[in-house]
Amino acid sequence: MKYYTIKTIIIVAFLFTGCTKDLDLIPQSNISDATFWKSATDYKLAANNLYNSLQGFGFDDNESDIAFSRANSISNGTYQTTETDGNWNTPYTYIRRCNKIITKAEMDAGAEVKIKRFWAEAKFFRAYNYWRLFRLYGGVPLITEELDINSKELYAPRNNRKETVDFILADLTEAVASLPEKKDLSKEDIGRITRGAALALKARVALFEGTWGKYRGDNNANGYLDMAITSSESVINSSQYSLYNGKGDQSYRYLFIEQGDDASECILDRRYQRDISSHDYTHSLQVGSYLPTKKLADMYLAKDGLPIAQSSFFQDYNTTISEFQNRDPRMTMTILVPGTAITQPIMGAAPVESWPFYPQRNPNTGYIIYKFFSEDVISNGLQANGNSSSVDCHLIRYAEVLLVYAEATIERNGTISDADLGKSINIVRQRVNMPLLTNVFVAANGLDMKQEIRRERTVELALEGFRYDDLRRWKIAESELPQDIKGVKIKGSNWTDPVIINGSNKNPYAGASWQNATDVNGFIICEKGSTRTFDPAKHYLRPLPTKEILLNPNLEQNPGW
Amino acid sequence: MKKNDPKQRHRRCPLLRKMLNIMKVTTLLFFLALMQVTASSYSQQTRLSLKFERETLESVFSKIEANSEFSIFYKNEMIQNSKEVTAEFKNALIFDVLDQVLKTENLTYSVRNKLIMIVPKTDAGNENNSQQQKSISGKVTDSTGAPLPGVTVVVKGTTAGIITDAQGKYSLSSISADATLVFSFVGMKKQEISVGGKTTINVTLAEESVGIEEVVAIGYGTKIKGELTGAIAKTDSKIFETRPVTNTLNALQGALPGVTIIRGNGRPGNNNYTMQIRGISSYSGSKPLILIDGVAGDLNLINPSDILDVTVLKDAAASIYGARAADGVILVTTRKGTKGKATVSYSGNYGVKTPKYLKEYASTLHMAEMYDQAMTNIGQPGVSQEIFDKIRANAAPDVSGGWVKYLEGFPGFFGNHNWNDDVYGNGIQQNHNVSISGGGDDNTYLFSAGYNSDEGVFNYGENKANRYNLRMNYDFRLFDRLNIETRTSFDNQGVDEPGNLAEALRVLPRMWNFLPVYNPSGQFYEYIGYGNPVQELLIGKSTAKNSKFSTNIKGDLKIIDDLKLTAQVGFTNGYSFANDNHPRYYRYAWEGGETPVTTGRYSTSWATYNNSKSFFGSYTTYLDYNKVLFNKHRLGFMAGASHEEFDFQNQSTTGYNFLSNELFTLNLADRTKVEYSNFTGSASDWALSSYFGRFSYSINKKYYLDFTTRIDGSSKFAPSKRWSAVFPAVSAAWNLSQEKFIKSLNTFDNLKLRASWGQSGNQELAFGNYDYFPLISITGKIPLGSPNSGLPGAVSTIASETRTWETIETRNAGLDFAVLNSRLTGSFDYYIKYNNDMLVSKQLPATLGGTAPTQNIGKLETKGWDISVGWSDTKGDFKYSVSATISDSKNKMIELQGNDAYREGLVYAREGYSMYSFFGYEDAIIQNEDQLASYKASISNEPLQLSVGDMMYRDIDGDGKISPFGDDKLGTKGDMKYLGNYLPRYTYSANLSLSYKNFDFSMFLQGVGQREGIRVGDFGYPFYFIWHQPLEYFYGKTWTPENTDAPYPRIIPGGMGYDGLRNWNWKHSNSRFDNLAYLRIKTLTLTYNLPQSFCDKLKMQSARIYASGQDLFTIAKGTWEKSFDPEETWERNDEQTYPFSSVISLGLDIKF
Repeated sequence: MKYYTIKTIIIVAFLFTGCTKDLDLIPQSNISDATFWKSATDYKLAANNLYNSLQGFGFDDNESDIAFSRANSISNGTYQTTETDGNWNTPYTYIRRCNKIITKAEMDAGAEVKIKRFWAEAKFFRAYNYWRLFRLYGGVPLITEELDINSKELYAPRNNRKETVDFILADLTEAVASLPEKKDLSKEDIGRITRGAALALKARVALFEGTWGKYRGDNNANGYLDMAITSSESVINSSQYSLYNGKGDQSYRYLFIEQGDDASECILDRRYQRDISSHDYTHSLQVGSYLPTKKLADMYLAKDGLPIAQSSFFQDYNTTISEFQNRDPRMTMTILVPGTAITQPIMGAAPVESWPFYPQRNPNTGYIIYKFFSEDVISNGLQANGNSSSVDCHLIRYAEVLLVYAEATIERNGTISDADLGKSINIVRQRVNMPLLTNVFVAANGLDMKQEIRRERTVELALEGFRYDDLRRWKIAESELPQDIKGVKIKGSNWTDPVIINGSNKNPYAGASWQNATDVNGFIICEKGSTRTFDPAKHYLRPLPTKEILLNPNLEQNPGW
Repeated sequence: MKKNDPKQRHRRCPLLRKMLNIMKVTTLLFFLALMQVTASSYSQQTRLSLKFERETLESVFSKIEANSEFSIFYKNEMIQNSKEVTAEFKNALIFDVLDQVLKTENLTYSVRNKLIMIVPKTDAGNENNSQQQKSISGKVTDSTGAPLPGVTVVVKGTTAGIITDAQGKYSLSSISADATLVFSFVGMKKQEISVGGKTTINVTLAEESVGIEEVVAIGYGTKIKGELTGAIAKTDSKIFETRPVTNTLNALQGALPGVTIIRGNGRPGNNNYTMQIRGISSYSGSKPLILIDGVAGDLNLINPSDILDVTVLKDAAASIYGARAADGVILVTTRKGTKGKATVSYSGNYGVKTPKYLKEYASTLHMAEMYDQAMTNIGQPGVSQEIFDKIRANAAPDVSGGWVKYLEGFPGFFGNHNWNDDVYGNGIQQNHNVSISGGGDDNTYLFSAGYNSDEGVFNYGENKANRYNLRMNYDFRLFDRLNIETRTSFDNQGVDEPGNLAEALRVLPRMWNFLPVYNPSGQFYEYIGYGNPVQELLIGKSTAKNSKFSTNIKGDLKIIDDLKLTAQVGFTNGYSFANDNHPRYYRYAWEGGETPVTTGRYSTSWATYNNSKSFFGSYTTYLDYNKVLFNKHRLGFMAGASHEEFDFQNQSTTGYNFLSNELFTLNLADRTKVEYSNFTGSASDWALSSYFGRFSYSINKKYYLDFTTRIDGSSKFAPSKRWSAVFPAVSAAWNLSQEKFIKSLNTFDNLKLRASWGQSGNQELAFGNYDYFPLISITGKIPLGSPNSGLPGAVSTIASETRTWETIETRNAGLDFAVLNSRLTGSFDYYIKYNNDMLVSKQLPATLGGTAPTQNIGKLETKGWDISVGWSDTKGDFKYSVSATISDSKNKMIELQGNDAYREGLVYAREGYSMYSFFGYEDAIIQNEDQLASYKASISNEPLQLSVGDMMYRDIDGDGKISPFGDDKLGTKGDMKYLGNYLPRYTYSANLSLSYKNFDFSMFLQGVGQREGIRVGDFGYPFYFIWHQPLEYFYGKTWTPENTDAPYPRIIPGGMGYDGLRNWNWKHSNSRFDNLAYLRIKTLTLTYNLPQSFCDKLKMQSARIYASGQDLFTIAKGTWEKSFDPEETWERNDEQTYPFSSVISLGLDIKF
């Protein structure tokens, strides 16, 4: 009996002491939050993640009237409330991360200057993400701390429009002081947030709210316009930036492809690098996801600086290339002249004659996008699955700052001096060798200065995602958006002639399905104005996702939804 | 003469058989020994009231048997001339009765246990056989070498006999040398041994599993089936025999009532099986605990031929496994050796696979007609007569341009061929198993080796899964009281697939039927940017190897007769390796122009290597004490502890721009660029400590009671919550067939009622191993700097320290019966499961800015039943058996605390409904202008282009809008309603076996009685995009003015500016429901057992050959004209499903 008892004890002891693992296990491949947040390196690591919140290339102008692919529910006013919406959720995800960095840095009384810089980056990104919310929804709940699942702030009502925009502007103002100038960035920090980026974003937000308020009778409007002027002026006066001119008269086009990466004009970029984080934007462009419309094409001035309706240089629409002649050079750097040979995704390295329908696949408007179209064969998405382009997406560039300065000035004062035009808009025009915009020229030709400044902005920033916001802040969306979306003239032009590619006629426009869908002048109607709506009582702001309202009863839906 | 035939004795004593039937065999040996000791005290208490009127002794004995626990042995000839008995007894002791009825005869009796032997009064020296007499002694053991007490040892042809003692020993005196000893014991095969010159005869009895004496594995021990109190089902190795199964889960499908197994696809080695016991019991998913010989294991890798039996614990019986038992427990026992000379067996089969349920796309002509409708419906010109003529004429391609919208830039084609014919073909699968088993006095062994090969069904590229299994099960006795069992196995599976398999399956449906495979230059033609599926199958290679080495040693030490200590140590080392090679290659335009391509998102060739290793250790020890008091109260205590730990590590490296386009070892990778250094890794572990115990009590084999409890501590929870769970269970059974009032009915061979209640935990949750404290997760590569570096970013996670176990409460009531001499058997169970602390990821406003950790806030109720019925009989040479099972499970989400976010279509969880319910609209097709006008007048948010032939949905809440959700302020509820459910209901199976002489035939049916689904994805609609060809299924099923009875609305092509209307027409609504119920003939097998004489000639023990068909026929409605297997999963891009196959195979089993 004793013998067995001893043996039992030995076995049991062996099993429960010798070779077992405690239940207090520590993560084997994760650092814990409690041991993090010690050094500037930790803060930098945390701040790095925030760069993911920078929006990359998109097709935002399809939501407006200057680009089209297929019917777009934002643009045509048919969109519905949704249960959830990334436009709402994603910014708050990054706001939480920003709040964490800001709180941790502020708790650390002796935070070194090095940490302070990442605190400022977090402030910038918090402002950037609130801006993403603000531009679509107006006032939103302002969350300034890292919330817990039991926090009562989760059920906070929306802050009003003024509180929200002031919060964004205040964060940016605070960030400015602790951010480096562009010239002070070390090589490995190229691409990080600079003082210029904070100021330029501040100028953009202030202009947005200044004009939004002005056209809705808000007394605070002038204050924001003043801020837009001073902020943009600070960027101009910092002498950190200049327009990209590295490719002569083709600089404007090259700015948006590889050659423009890290150009002197770049203030804030979403950066890409092949095999690290790359995109297939060119491939999407090639399959027709982003087509310029007739409205954009017509907006380009003739080379004498006059609108096409007034200029004797304009060559009508009767051939496939006639309308591209004698125009603002930015037109042919944005829209490809049909039949031009360029390198194309899928088609191999040799340049291929490009038409709206070949090798492009979406002939809807008849215009082919050329902006962003790389000359690098791999960038152009030769891969089966694309995702190979390193071209950076310019989110804020110096030209915008100049345009903000001009617009804010005329909106604030009703007039703009030739000197102010000279330090802003005319720098943009000079790059593409367009005649200068002066008060005399405007007066002489019966033009409207404000309209010309707006035109300049739309043309310079075409297909960069500004138009939808511009239409709304100028409060002209209800008249501009419900119009026909049109394309090239296919009736009564030589678009009905055969286009011989590889020995056969590939031109579809002569077919009945196209010929039947034209207006009285023979222009393609891609979408009829009668099927497009914009309700000013409703559509100026997006609806909040229904699930959010369900979860937080204090959250008020936008009017009309 | 039959008189000496022991069988005859059994037949004449039906009660004896019944008695013996109920006696437990292997696990309760000690009880038997004890009972023997206390038998006399028990019997003295038994009092009988009997009345005999002119009755033979035979009838007297049978009456005594019927009214007592005793069995009476006698030789017919002894009572042939006995006098008739007339007597009456009231509350008499049995000895008084026997004394009285035997007093006039020359007979007396002896009592052993509950056996009464009638013997002549003067036994000794009465034999006329005067050969040399001697004493014989020996020991009887079972196949594991454990002593067998209570075995009847009888000298053949005489009444002389004895019963073995607690050590399994016996001794007989005065036995003649030419006598034969017969050893018999319930549940064991009878053995006859001639005495010859021997004085010691040791015998090992082999088990014979039939009926309620079957031994069933339960948690930390075994029980005899008749004694079970819980809902436990068992299947034996037959389901793995004579059929071409490549995977254990495939064989188990339909084999166990209450266990639902669904196949994900037909991909060799990656079939993606899901197994559920009694439906869903948690929001976080439901996964049964799999134990192979007592240690957690993997059913995908084990060799099906090594499995002896599979037991499933469905109710409170599983609670003994506590923390992971919430979804039931599957206990797999592997085969072991049997004593005696070595037996070598080989089994093998060879089968041909044919892919089934391939997606059929509309022929070019049908497609053109549908395309014509689609375009006409949106006011665009349709297909010209010229094109139709060319299609009918199978005209040559028109290089000037295509006739399909947006494809005008590519050549136009008019032919018709089915891409499935190019891509799919037959595959071969084969199984070979060899095993050697045997054993000596103190040990048994089984070695087995298995090879399984399962080829894919593609005509091109390399695709196969190979599995190799080795096993050694060696059991030995170290000392008299210490038995050791060892289980060691090595399993290895290798899967080879084309590197671009997923891409090939994705593009296959995108290949219009009019497209040729090759361009005029004979190169793979690449159309509109999609890869050519045939070419994709030939590109690159993906290899995955998965190995497991497991060993498991168990010792049983008998400390004293009633007390046993068991200790078990199991280790599993896992190792897996995966390699994907992606070379550069070219694609070819019609004109022959080539485009260089690299697959994936990288700009050059690349290859990924992934290694991972894991270690699992399991340590268990428990004490088991059993005692029988007063011969009727049986007590059992078991208490023990266990500890499990798991450790995992992996490394992954990707190399780029390889020097060679054929060789992809990392030494050939380009290491010149920062972005080409791409490696990662991770490590993780968990541990679980547990204490458990069982108390069993039974009275008189009528009343059974089991209590179990378990306490678990898991490393996955915060220290304060770690040990918070105690999982108790209680179950009881009442064996009615032992009650006199049931016995008197003479109907039931077995009738038992069972009831149980128990709690168990669920720690197999969808969260990480360390999620109770906030962690920093390092992810992403953000390009910053000049030149760009891929910088990582850090994010802090949200943690919950208050989170703890999910506790699942199970109630079960069951009934087992056997009637008509046990030819008809059956079992019924009803159960309710409650998950009261279900971990639900709480829905919080997005302003939280992160994923909220799950909290114990949900409540789920699951109800259902299992029925199984079996019939078997023999008519001369003809044997047959039929068995059937059917189970149901339905659940209801009782409480989600506001996490009730539902939507159109499939909803995972919504309060008040079953999980996986569909919600949507009530639809009808607008048949005429009047209907259109009145509908438009009643609804304010219909699409502008709504027309006749489109859908109209009912405005259920009457707010004048078709809106999914209501508005609380207006008091509206929205227009969606419950449409149906995706979870299988009424899963059933049936098995028919016939055997005539040397032929066996078996048929296994399996199916699902109710299940619904809605197919989505680009090919779930005709022309979801105008550049996607429709399924042939839709031909003639869409509304046209000529076809107004069509089930589907008119075709609105996508990508043409009418997407709003298209989406409207295809909202989730009742007419889109597909009935996924099916009945499948899973297996048909015809076996021929070679005649014994033939086997003997070849020195074989036995041999059989068989032909078998797997998945040959299916009856199902919602397959879209055989384009979807009813088991195929629903909500995804269905084009990616790897097809299922049917298999026809030939097999051979030989034993030497």
